[in-house]
Amino acid sequence: MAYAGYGDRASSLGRQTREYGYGLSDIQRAKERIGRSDAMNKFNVEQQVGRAARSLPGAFNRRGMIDSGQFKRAQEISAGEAELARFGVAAQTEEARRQLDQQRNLLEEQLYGSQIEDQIANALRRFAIAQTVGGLA
Amino acid sequence: MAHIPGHKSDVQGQGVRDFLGGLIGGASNLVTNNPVSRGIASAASAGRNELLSDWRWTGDGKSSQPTTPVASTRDRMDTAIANALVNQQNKQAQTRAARLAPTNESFSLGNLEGLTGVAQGSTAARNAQNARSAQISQENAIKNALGDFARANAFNTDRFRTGATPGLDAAIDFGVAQRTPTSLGQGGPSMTDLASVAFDNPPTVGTPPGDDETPIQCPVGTVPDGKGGCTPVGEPVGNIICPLGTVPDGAGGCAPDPNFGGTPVVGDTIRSLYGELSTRDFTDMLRNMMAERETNLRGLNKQSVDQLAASVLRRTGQIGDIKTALETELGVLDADRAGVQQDLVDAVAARAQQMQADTDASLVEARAGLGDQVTDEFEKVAQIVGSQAGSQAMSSQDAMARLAQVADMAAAERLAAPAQLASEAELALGDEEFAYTQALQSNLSEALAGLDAEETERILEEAMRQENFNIGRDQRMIEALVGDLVRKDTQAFQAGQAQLGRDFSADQAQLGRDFSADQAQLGRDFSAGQSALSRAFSGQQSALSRAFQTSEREAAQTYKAEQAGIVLAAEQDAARLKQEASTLALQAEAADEQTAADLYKVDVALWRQMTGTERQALREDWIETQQLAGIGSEAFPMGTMQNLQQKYPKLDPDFFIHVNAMLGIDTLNAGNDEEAATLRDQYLEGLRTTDPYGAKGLTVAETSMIDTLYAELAADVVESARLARNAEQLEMSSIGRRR
Repeated sequence: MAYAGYGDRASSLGRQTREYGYGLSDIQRAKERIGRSDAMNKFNVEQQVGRAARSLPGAFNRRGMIDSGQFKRAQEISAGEAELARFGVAAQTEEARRQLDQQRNLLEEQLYGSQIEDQIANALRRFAIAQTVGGLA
Repeated sequence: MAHIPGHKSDVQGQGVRDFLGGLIGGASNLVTNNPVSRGIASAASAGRNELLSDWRWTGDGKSSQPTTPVASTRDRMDTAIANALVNQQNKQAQTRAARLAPTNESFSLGNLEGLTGVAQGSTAARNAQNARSAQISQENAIKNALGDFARANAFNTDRFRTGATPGLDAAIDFGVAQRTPTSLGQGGPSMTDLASVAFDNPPTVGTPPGDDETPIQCPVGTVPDGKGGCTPVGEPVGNIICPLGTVPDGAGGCAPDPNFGGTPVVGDTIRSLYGELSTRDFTDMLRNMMAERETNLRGLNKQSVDQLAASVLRRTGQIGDIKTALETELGVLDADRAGVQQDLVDAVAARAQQMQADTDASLVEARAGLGDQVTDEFEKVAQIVGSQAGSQAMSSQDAMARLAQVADMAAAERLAAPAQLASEAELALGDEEFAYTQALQSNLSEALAGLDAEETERILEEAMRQENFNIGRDQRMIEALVGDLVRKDTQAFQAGQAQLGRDFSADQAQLGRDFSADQAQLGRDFSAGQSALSRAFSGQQSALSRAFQTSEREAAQTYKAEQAGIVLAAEQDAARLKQEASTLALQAEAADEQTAADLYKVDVALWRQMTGTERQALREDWIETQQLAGIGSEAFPMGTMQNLQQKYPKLDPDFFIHVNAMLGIDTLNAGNDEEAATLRDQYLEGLRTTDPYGAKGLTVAETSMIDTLYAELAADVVESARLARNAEQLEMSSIGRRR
């Protein structure tokens, strides 16, 4: 029965550590990039919402409809769109972070799985020795 | 001559005395372990002292017994021992012996005279002496038998015996029997008896003769009387002389001597001795050893099984330890994994809640900024955004929950590995244990099977070894028995030969005496007859002499007269023949030269050339020849070879042999003249042929001479036959005329 020796285990541990570390670093870097993107997207959405809010009374005023019901309705529609834009940014960011969490989870699973497999492989080596009485009988 | 102490002869006899003393003393020393033998030895020792003292009288040859006939040393020893026993050990016997033999010297002399049968004196005295001689012989036989027993039992002291080596003991007995020289006996048994006594009294017997029964212990100087009592030595027990080992039974016969060494049956002893030879039976030992080996094998197998069980137990413990350690390690790792994963779930849930809370707050703030809404445009969007935010938050939490569940499933699978691996290891260990157990059991079974086969083989070999031993023992016993038979036969042959020698000597002596007497008588008869014949011969010789002289004288006279007549007649015939020859010669010469030449058988030309002297010599020679051969048919008839030879005396005699041969050819071929002529020519041709083995070839002239001689002889034969027929006819006619 073939089983991993110390060399194999050492290289495996190194590889696992490297992959885990790099993976963790990538996740952290992606998380930060998502944070920046989220901040920029939120800023852009707020700038557009502010500009729309400031331009809407002038437009209705020029038409003379600033005191009409249409203006109120347009304000409500614009508030709704602003909320949709804010939710879109938040949902996009949440989705990206959820992907990172899933990768992080996978990374942790790989790390502990490999460690457990190594332990099992080591145990298998010992089991292989212990399951024979050739050296004792 | 009286004995003088210190005399030279005494010194010389000392060596003999030492020898005898050593002999008897040695015998007594060799039997000290046997009570009976000790008694014998004491008697022998006492006898030896007397013997030595008595030997001083006779041993040096210059003692006071010059009248003792010359006897062998053995006889003198017997006599001396008997005298010693009589003189020193038993006064009563001495008195009785003295009545018959007043003095020691005369007693010994009487013994010897009795032995030699030359004693002189009255019949009664000779009978008494003969009786004493027989008694002495008997006593000597007894003493010798006892001495033999002492010698035979000299080796019964267990000095050379181990008791555990019957073969060696038998060899000692046989060696004693074979190597005890007869010269050690004192006129006793021969080598046969010694061998038989020694061999038939093996060391295992260890008892004196007749020990099975209570032996009769007679006082020294007495002997058993065969009836349970003792009789003094010197007292004759009848006139019976019994063989060795028997004594007179008092009834005119002989009975076995209870003090003798038993009836020697060597064959039974050999069988008994070889019957003691046995070999140890190692069958049980082999079985025990095989059983021990089986036990050892089973013990070794049990040790191996125990060790295997211990090893399996140790491995089982190790497997359990490995399993426990692996479970612990996996538990720790899985706990860490679960913790990390739970942190992620918690973080996702917190972020989702925060996002939903932020969305709700934004909607609240937007409503507050709108104030009283106049349409539902915002609220529709707010409703969608709020529901979407909640849905996404829930989705994120559900996704992490699913991932955690999957990770837990994988973790559970990994955590079950220790038990599964331990189970598999224990299974493999059990299989290996089973294989080892099977191998040990198989090895044990094979070893036990081999052990059984080996045990059977060894037991069979042991049985064969015992059988071979028995065969070898029986073979050696048979060889010993055959050797004993050969020995007995040889001894019987030697005894018979000796007896024949004695008989022959006696017969020869008797024949010598008879021959001498007959010779003397014949001598006397011969002398008388010779004298008478001499006288008769002298008379006859005188008469014959006279008659012979007379007849001789008459014969001489007659012979002289006849001789004179014969001589005269011969002279007359010679003269007549000479005259006739001369007449024939003169007539032939007178006739003509051819007739003369033919008469003298020379060529006419030669005759003519001859001078008168030569013719005279030839004539005288012819006349002399005719005188010697006779004229005509007087000497040799015509037609004979002798007649022809007389005619040609100077020719080679071989010519006449060839002529005779040619005549023989005619005889063999009578009636066939041509064949005879051919054979004669061939014969002559053969004479001319050179013989490869020698010079035989004759010349043509010589063969022509032979042929001429043959022709003349043949013509003579024909002529003589014709003359004979004519004479016969004339005689017949004359007879007819007379009739």
